[in-house]
Amino acid sequence: MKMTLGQPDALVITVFAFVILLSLAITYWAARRTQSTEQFYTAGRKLSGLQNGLALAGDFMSASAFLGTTGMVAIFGFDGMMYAIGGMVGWPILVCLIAEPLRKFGTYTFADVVAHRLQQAPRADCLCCKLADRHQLLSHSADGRGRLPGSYSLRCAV
Amino acid sequence: MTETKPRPVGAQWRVAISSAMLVVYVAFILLVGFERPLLERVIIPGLSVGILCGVIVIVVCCILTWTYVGWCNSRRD
Repeated sequence: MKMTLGQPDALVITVFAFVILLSLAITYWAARRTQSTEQFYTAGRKLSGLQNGLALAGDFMSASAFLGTTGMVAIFGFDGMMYAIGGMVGWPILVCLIAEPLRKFGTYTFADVVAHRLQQAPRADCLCCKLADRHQLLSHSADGRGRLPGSYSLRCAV
Repeated sequence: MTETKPRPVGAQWRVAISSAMLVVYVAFILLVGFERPLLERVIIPGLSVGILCGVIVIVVCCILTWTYVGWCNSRRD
């Protein structure tokens, strides 16, 4: 199959740069307000349930969630639907088995809980697991994004 | 080091909710795997048994989370 590279599109590049600059500006603004660990991880425990839900929703609406899951349902039918529902099913289990111990120990990351339980810091192990896990997500996210005809989708979005 | 054991009541709740969720989801997976003709039956045009089952799983998920949050809020804070 012959691969072709897309042509540079001024509109796409402008929108992309604008989004990146906006995120960096928000990050800079937020970083200046952050003083302590508690503020960094939990926003000073001042977020309401709705705000937290919106943040989680934004976190999970990725290219893989949109394109991957929709595509799986479209192509594989019920076999794909298992994955679409599985993401949702994980939430109560995550809340019960991960969030509650985190809260009980008063720590902010899972690595801290594991370190507390094992009486040492298995940071390298956690890092390896995380990288192995994220590599999968990153590769198919990037794959999905690359397959989208960028300018067409962006023009639709704009 | 003193091992902080989870409170028995809390642990029971958490395990019960997680298990209930897993049982429902595994049941759905087994249906998808072995009862395809049942899932493909159409109840009303545009809605098959399979899609209804999926929606039910999601609703159960919401109810369980809601139960847990309600119990958490009543227990402390």
